[in-house]
This record gives sequence, structure tokens and C-alpha cells, in this order.
Amino acid sequence: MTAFAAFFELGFQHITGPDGLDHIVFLVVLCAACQLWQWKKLLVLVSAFTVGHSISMALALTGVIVLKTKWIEWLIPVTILLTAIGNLKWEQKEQSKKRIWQIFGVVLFFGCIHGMGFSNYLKSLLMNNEGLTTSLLAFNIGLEAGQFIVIGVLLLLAFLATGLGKIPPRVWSRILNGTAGILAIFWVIGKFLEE
Amino acid sequence: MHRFLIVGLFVAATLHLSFRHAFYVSICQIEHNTASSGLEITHQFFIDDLEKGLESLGTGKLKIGTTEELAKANVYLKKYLKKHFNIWVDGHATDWEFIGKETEDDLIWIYLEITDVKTVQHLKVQNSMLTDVYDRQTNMVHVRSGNDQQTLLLSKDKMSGDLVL
Repeated sequence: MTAFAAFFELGFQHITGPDGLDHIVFLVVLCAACQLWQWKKLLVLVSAFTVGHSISMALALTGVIVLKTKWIEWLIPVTILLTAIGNLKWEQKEQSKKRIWQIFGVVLFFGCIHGMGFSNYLKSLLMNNEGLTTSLLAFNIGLEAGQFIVIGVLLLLAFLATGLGKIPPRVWSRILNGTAGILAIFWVIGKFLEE
Repeated sequence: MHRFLIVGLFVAATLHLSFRHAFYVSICQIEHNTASSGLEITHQFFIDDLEKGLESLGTGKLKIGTTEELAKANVYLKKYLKKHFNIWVDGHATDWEFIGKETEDDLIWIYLEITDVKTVQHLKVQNSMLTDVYDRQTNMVHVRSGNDQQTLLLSKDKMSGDLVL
């Protein structure tokens, strides 16, 4: 295969496999911020995440931003926890247009943090930064494709749970936010205690 | 609601315990140098991962890349490489020569060479390095010959691959 295909595959595997669990859980809380019919809102949130992680991946790989791996791995569960708390706190509030853009900004920033995590992984796939542009592009497209699948599965689960399973949407969303939030607390504490 | 909380807690704890943020990857670059009629090979590993692999030979701590590196480190390294990294040129098994190694921070580069390779049409690469210690190990192999460049992704399920150059 070409190097492009290889990096695409690794990007896809990274976000759909066990290594990318922290990113998957973030996608869970993003989806949990929306009801099934709020597809426009979900689209805005996912775009913000994508734009954020694409920008920071490029910046981190080219050495423009440098942050210790330990901090990045600590901040990733923090983004999950804050999103889950935000979802639970504001679940009943009607959202204005202005508020959506504020949320867009926050998710964009959270995406930047995840992007630095992605770039750490991609760095380990490069020798002397050779073929940086191609591999970054292919890896990122692979990530987006994988993200698309993850969100598809989450929407399907939401449909099965709330539609066929008759779980009220608000309860379903609380289950997701609660579980992800607890998991994030474990990670935040665990990472902090690691020397 | 309490039921959900207990299930949520259980799921979270299980996921937390099963999650490790570690990347199990190595990179290998094979370049056909027509001028010197040789295949020049560079491996890149994380030092701690490679040491884990070498320890499977019963080496104990080798302290590679430090001033306390054991004198036998290269012997074990070659032994481990012979077991896990082999190349066939146009159907013929080859013997690589160990040129040397370099380390920087947490990375190690290993240089190998196969001499007397004037032309290559078909290349078979076996790279099962570290698949014996990490189930999720991925070994990325880039092969370059002239303008042609191809890549193999090797793992425990697929330890070798064939390329037509």
C-alpha cells in the first residue's frame, strides 16, 4: 500500500480502537449534548471538535505549540468531565443562537487539546518527521472517517435505547453523561497521581 | 436512577482499568541503494519497548543507551532481530549485517545492511519485532526503490508482507 493508505488506516484504527478510548468518550458526551432530532447542533459540535483537533495537530507536529504529554493526557479527561457536567447542568435550558456559538468556541478549544494527543501518537509513527504533510493529512482523514463511524454507532444506540427501548431521552443522556463523567474523574485523578 | 448510577460506576471502573495510553509502534525504512548495490535498513523503536522484547531472551536489564549499557547488549539485539526480522530478495533468503545503533531520548535507531543487491523485483519482509511482548504491536515498513515507495503494516496477525517493486 501507499504511505497515505497506511496512515489513513492507522488514523482510523486509532480512534475506533482501544487506544482511542478517551477520544471516543469525548464523542459520547458530545452526542449526549444533543437529542436525536438536534442534528444541526450535533453537526456544529462535531465540526468544532474536528476543526480544533486538526489545527492543533498541525501546530503540535510542526513544533509551534509544545505541551508535556503528561499534561495533555490529564487535560483530555478534563474536557470530558467539563462537557459532561455542562450537559447535566444545562440540559433543560433552551439554547439561543448566541449560546451555540459560545459552545462552539469551547468545543473548538477542547478539540485543540485532543489534537495534541493525536499528534503525540502520530509523532511515534514518523522517523525524523519524514513525509510529515502527507502523513498528517492521511492520518487526519482516517481519524475523521473513524469519528464518523463512532458517531454513527452512538446515534444508532441512542435510537435503539430511546426509540425501541423506551428509555426517556433525558434519562439516556444522563446515563451517558454520568458514566462518562465518572470515568473522566477516574482518569483525571489517576493521571494526576502518576508521577 | 440509583440502578443507573451503579451500572455507570461499574462500566466506568472497568473501562478505566482496561485503558492504557501507550502506543505500540515501530518504524522500519528499507532503501535500495543502486549505487552501492545494497539494501539500507533503519529501524526505529522506543527503547523501553525494545528492552522488553530483548528481556524475553532472558537478558535481564540491558540499560541500552545509557553509560551502564551491558557489553552483551548488541549480541542479544542481533539475536532478537534475527528471530523477528528477515528479508527475501526475489525469493532468496538474505543475511543482513548489523551496522550499528544510535539512541536519543526514548528512541533507538538500528542500522542494518544487505550487500550485493543489484536489482530487486520482489521483496518479502518479515517484521514480527515485539509482537511476542505486545499483542497490539504495529510495525510499519516503508520500502523505497528509485521513485517507487510502498508501505507495509505488519502485526501479530500479519508478520510478513510481499512487495512487487
